[in-house]
Amino acid sequence: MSSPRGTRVADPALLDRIKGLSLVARRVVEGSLHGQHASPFRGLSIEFVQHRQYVPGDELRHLDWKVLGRSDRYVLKQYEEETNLRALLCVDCSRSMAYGGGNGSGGSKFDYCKVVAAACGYLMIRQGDRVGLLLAGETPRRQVPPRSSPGHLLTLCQALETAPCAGRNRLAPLLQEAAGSLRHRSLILVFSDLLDDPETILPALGRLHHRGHDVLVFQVLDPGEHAFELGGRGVTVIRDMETGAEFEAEPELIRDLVRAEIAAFLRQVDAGVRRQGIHLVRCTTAEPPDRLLTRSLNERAKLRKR
Amino acid sequence: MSFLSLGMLLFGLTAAVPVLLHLHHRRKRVVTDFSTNRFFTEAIQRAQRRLQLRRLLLLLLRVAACLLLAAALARPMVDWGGIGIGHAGRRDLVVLLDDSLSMQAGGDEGETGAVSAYDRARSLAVQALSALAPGDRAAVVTLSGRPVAGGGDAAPGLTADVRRLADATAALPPAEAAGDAAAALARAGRLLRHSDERARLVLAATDLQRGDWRHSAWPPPPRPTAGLLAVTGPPPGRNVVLAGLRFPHGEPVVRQPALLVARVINYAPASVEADVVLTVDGAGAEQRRVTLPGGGETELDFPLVFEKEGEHRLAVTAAYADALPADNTRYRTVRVGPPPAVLFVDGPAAQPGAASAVFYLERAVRALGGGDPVLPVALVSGAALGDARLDEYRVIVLNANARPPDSAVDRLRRFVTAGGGLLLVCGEGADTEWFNRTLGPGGNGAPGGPAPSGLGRVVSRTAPRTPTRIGEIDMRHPVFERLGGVREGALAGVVIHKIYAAAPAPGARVIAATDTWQPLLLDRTYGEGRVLQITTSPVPDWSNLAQRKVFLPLVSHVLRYLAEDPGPPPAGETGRALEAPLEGWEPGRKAAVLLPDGSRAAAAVRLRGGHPVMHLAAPHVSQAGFYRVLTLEADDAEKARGPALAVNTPPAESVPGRLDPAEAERRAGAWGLRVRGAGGADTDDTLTADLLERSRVRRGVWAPLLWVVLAAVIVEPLIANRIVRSEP
Repeated sequence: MSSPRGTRVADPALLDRIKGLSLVARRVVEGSLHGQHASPFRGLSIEFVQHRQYVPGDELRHLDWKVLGRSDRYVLKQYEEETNLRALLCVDCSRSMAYGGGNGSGGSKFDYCKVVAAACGYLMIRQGDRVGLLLAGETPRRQVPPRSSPGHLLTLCQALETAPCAGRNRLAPLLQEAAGSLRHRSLILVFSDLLDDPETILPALGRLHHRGHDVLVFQVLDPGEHAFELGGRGVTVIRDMETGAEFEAEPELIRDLVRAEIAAFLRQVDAGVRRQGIHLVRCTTAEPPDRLLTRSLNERAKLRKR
Repeated sequence: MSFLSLGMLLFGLTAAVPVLLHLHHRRKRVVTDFSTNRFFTEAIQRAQRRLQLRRLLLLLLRVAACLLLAAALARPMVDWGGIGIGHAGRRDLVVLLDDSLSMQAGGDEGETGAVSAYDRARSLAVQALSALAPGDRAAVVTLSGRPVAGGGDAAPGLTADVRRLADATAALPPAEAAGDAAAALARAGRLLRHSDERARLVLAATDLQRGDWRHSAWPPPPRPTAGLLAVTGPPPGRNVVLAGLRFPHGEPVVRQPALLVARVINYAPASVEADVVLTVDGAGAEQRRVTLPGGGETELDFPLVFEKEGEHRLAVTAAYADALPADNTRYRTVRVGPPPAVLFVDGPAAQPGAASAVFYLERAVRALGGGDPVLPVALVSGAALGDARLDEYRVIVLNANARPPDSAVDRLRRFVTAGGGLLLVCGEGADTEWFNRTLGPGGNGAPGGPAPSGLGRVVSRTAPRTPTRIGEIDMRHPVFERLGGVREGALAGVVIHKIYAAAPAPGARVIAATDTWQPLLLDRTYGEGRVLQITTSPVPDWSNLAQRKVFLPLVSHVLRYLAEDPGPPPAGETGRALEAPLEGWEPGRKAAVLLPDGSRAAAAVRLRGGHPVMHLAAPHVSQAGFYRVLTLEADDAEKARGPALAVNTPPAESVPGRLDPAEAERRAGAWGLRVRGAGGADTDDTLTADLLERSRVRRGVWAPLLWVVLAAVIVEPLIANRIVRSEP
């Protein structure tokens, strides 16, 4: 498979480093192509599982003609089919994702998410999975339907590259909408800072999980944001990047307080996803994307073995 | 509160530094984007407000520390007696002792024999000085300006040797000088100005006589100042005063009648009878008994004839036992000289048998002596002027019709230039062309003559038209000044029928003009001499001047002015420095003054305009009487005796009026003084106790302020550190 070297978000060096990795769905997902993922459906496949009594209406092409010839019984052959993964990359495009770029992290949270999402797309397309993209911005919503063709990666990367980062966080309603529209159980990778009300974002993620989707959440934070390091001294007007609300404070005076609030928020998110059975991978933009992917896939592999 | 180092308050400007830093800190605020504000919970906002409040408190603490440090460096003094902090100061007392002449009056009515106001004041001053504690300082300032516990002109300052000062005050006799309360208060203010670490006390012991205290503005006191203004007696009430001696007709000349006028005032409410005695050169000359109505005054005329030229000493005494005997005698010296000779130069009569202007003028001079001329006069024609010895005369009266030859005019010009007096009478028969050419002030580069004005045409105004009268008179000119205000009205009756139009020369002074603004009498200084020019004539066709009573005195004053009457010799007043020109003094010699009591006092010699002047310091001029100037050799041997100078008591000291009590309260209040009456229940002891009670002990509070600043310096980092930590 060739790399989409013409796009910025798919870093070729990164793709070279992660091409040995395989993205394995922790749960059985539904796919239309043969792949590395176990299918929940008993149908046309290679691995025989059992025979079932024919009932009117079954397709005759699944009839076991050999059993019919030997015993004159109408039975159907059932196989465990290895399907291709259907994945949806859901990238948070709210304005808060544009935060970052300082402290040597190299870019904003949004830039980081785009790189990681592209890398995931690359991995999955490389193993024959169908990958779609949902840009969870304010308006207009943009969605790329899932494909598995090698050229689809270029489409994904172009969509990521041109995605705007503006507006308020609308991840929760979009996820709810996706939960209603996805007909096949899929792997849903959510790239977001989750800096929204946990009471809305966590139920949305839980609803996806309950519908049978495998949900993997990458919570990406900026190191300065995580530590509340705004830089500078004195009175500072802190402006909310999404709402524009201002709060006048002296950051060095309230840093510890804010850090405590952030820690409490993260604990609340951890508890929520744990309760929903959702896999959450938290990182900062200071962590190299390949290391993040390695870490996250290893974690998923361990979970799968359980 | 006051500050010892007021300039250090400028250090308080450093309080602006934390404020400016605070404002700069606030102005420097930046706007920073953050992903979300959801973490700024209410608790954080409360903590933020709490921290901001602490920061504000820290700012206030820093500002207060700077201000308090500035205040401490300025060394504040407070006069809250019971504050209980700081260190107590000591007292500085300045006694304003009224030793003026009026303080010699005694009793409620200023009766003789009673305890005088000065005795009470001195006793109170000694008592207050004796009540001071060790370490206190004091000074005595007299209203007459005499130093106490010092010598010469040097004004003593505050001394800690209060006992010696009290002894010197107890021995201080009263002065016959005027008091100057404003100067004494200013002196007291200067003495107390640097008494910042001490309680400032002022004790004024006085009779509050209006003459001493009426100054419109007292100098401002150094604050705070407290004390008493003790009124130790009334100003002289029953008092007869010899208020003045004068020769209304000018200084007398030898063997000519002179008139001495003595002015006597009775300040008592009831009429009194008194013998007024005139002594000349120490010998009784005349005695009059006069009855003076209550509150009235009179003038006594003493006709005199001096047979000898030279200096004579006159004294007039009202022999009356009153409250203030020192002002009952008035002294005066007179220098009797030869009479000034007058030369009249006349021309031919305008009409045969008609009298000229010179005729009237000469008769007027003769009339001054009751028939015999008081001044030696001579009469020559204009043609004979060239032969006359002009240096024998002091004044020349030239009728403009005389037309002396040009050579005589040149001599006349030199006569005036050398200091002679010239009266130009421009009336009938005057040759204006000749006058303007020879005597006129000239013009167009022509050499000027001595006349103050050239002559124009004759302006005539006769009946039935409204006659011309005198409209403007310069009463400051010596001629009219000596004429006096009483006779000013007499000039109003003068009618002028004809007058020459005159254009005054530059430097000429019009001292009388008609109501039509024609110059009538002009004055001009020419060389060393004086020239008067009258543009009309006393002949009846020209004016009725000769028919008026004012004519004789006017002629007399004109001639005396032209003859340069030397005026009264220098005189003095008790309590003031005495000065007189030293005649015949040579460098290397010294001057001294023989005082009325026979003692001798050294006098300074100063040069004024190149002429030596004797200067006797005010403290030596303490008695009324005659002061004889002496010229001494280098070894203090008497070289020559100079003139005698009459010194009299200041007239204002004899006036019984007292400063209005409300005004006194107001002015004394500005100085922190409480007005108290001495005598009766207010004894020296009670007044002294009251005085010391009012001496609010001032305390310096800079040490506690420094402690507060130190505490602030200690607390400040604690607060600042707490803010930086900003614990949750």
